[in-house]
Amino acid sequence: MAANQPDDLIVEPATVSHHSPQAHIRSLQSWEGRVLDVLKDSFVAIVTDLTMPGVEEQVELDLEEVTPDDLPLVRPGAVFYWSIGYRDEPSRSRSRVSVIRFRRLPRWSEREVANIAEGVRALKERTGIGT
Amino acid sequence: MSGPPQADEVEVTLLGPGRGESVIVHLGAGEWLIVDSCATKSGGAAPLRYLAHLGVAPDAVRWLVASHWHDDHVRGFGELVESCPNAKVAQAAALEQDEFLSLVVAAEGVMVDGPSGVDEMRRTVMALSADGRGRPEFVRADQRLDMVAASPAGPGFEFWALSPSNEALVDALKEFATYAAVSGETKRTVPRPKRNPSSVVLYVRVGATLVLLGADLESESSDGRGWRAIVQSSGRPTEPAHYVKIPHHGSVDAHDETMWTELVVDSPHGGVTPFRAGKTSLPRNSDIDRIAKRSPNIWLTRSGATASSPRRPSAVERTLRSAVRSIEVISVDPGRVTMRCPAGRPGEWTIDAPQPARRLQPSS
Repeated sequence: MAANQPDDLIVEPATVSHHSPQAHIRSLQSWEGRVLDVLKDSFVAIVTDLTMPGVEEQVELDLEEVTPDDLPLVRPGAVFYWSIGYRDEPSRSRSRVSVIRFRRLPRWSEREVANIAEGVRALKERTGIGT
Repeated sequence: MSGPPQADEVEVTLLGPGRGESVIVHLGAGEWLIVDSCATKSGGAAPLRYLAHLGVAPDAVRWLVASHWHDDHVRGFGELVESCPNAKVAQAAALEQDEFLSLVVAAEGVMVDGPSGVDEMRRTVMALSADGRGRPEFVRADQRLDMVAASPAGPGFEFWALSPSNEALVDALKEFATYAAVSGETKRTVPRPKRNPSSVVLYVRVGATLVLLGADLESESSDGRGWRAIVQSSGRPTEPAHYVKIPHHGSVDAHDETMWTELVVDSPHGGVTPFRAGKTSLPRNSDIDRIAKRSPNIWLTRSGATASSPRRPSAVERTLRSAVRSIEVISVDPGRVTMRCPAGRPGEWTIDAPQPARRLQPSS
């Protein structure tokens, strides 16, 4: 998850806190989400609680909660991570924050797309579909 | 109502919503049909838990049917296939086409679970292949899938697929193409589809009792699609059903006047499951009103709030209040409505509908 955070933030797992000269976030609760629907100024997603396994919730979040860099990634099927916690500044101030970061999946390559057709042939051969 | 049904009884049990809905039908003589699957709160396939509650072993399941591939109907379907070793499997004919199989292969390449049912469909075909049952039966409209004659052991049964029509199958393939992997585009999970063009509607006869399972089939303006295609078909059984699983969670989009006048008896018994996704929450009050005015014998598997929110740190609650528009637990144990009647005396239903199920009632 850390690879998806902005450079000036360190998000730690829930209930874990570390001292750092940088601002850091002490996560109290975190989710992994999958976008179902993008509306005019919000999006709807199913989120799986990473701190309470087994709990799935449906949530509607304002698009304003997403950083401008990630906004183009918000579309049905996109995967994101969401953390709520405390942000502690080096100046010793603290604020509550909600951080959403979208997973940056790679792009399909020409070779991968071509391999899908080969994968379909293999699947049909293995399962008998289409025979 | 305790224990399994008698050999000459038909039972229709509707489960939902866990994640999804499922219909479990006793075909007589201890054999069962399961249509779709939904998951319990803990993630297991709810139909298996129900059968275990009755004391019925999974090897008594003769057929598993995936009415369509959306995750609100097939969550746990792969587990059903793996757990029911004697079951044949049926799916819509669209799912054997390369357009759909490409999604199955591509989803594997993305390596993340998505909100669609593609992963369950993949697990299904792989399980069938692994244990030698072969490929699923890929079905289309007016196809009789099975038939057993009446005997001293049981009342006999048959069941038919009434959909999808050829036009609906083409629509489904066009939809699959919109999700296809394109060179240069960012990978994503297969999103939850918004339409259900290739839903498999089933017509089941057990003795003299007839059951119509409406899947998520919607009403269409074209004669070749949706409920109009079924009603106008000359290849289907014509006797009206005594039980109806209301299509598409009671949505007005699935309401078809001729379904009520041509395919079911007056005031049929039946059931409907709720659904919630995005801004959509079904059935709406207007849907409940419309359905209840059609029949006083339709039951909703779950009413009211789905589940209470989990306990969270107060700081999280305060942040949620400012950061989200809504948040609701959706991993719940499904509600249940069970109806049984003697297969030879249709309409003499005994109903077991524990809370939070309730009978639909018109608003006035």
